[in-house]
Amino acid sequence: MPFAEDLFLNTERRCPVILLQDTSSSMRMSINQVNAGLKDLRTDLLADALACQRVEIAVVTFGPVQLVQDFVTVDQWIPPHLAASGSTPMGEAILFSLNQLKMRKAAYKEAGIPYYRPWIWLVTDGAPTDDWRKAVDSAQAEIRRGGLELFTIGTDQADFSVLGQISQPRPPIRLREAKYREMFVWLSQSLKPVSKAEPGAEVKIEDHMDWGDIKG
Amino acid sequence: MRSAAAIRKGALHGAEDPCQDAFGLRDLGGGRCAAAVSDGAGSARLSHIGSQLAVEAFLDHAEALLAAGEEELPSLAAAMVEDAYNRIAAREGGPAEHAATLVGWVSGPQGARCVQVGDGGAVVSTGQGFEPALWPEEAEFANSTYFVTSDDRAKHIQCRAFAEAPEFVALFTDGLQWLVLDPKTKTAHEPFFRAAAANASDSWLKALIASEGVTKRTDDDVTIVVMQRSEP
Repeated sequence: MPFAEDLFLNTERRCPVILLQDTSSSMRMSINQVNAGLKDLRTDLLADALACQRVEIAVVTFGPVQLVQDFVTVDQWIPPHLAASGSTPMGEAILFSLNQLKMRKAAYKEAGIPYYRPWIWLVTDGAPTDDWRKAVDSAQAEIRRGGLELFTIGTDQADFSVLGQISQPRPPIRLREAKYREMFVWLSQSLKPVSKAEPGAEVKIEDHMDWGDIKG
Repeated sequence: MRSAAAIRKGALHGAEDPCQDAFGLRDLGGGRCAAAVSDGAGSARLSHIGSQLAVEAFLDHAEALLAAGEEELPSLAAAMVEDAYNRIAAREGGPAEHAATLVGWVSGPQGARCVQVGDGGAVVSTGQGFEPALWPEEAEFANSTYFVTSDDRAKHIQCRAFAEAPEFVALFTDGLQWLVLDPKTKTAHEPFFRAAAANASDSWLKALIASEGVTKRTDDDVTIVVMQRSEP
């Protein structure tokens, strides 16, 4: 039985995701894997017709803190080519990202677009070089009220004590040897169900994944 | 009243998972008729049972809700939700594992009543067109809402009394809501409801919710119930 397309609305829905990527000079050796991983993230999400219209990616790098890509749906997104230089102002980067999310949600509300809980995906290979305590307080306030999914991922050299404080109750994840590409594919796979989820759907991370392990 | 209904498990669920939506219809005699739909929360293990219990509780209270005056309706709606909660809370697993929304409708010669907790919706004919009877209540995020099993359920009960029963009503769960309700204008999508009013039968609704127009827009469970006054 044929049904006309105009029987149904194409109501937009959005799931905003900030990729908060450490691009300090120590990332120089692995920045190419990060760039390849961003492309993999896009390719994997594009294969899902609903997710690629709902997931909106923004890319924020530090340092210095920069909005490399403002929010854009995956079908419109061209992954940036990141370069590594500078220090690790993680605190400033988190505060900046929280503010970007706040502005984005205000824009959704203004436009009458329903949206899912936002994500921040923080990846670092070091320790903050700025004062990060205020950022922890702000992020934690947002997490406690149920307003944010925050993931922290670190390489062996990362300060997992700081990462744990930022993302608790979710533990930080230790990235296995430069498995950035596998990490971004995992992110894509996790975003797909969430971007169309029913009420109450949760993001589950496992103790051991092919790209990293929970740092408990 | 003529009624028709269809329910479909979303692609989000595996083959062995139950459909978490539920619906029910009940003829109360004397030209009175009740219907309800409920969406069990994706994350709640027993929400397919919670949604059935919520529907049954509404249908059991429908007669009293219809008899209630407009001023009494909120307290009777609250009593119905409390009863739904108690039926669910008595079961193994408790309220959280049974989380479910509710949209209920009852109509007869004395008018109509609509009660809703959480998302999903009811759309009625107005004579000139169609309008939402109530509006789905979502929490801040599109994947969060309120349930008859929530601790603060009493704060999230919406109800509306109609002095005269509309010719047509459609109840649906949230899998369909943003395909047929426009969040920008808070209006009902007229083409959909015109087609539903003109064609509603179980087989038509079943084909409708299995059609690509629906399945490419949602992976969620989808339920729709339509009631129409019989042709003279």
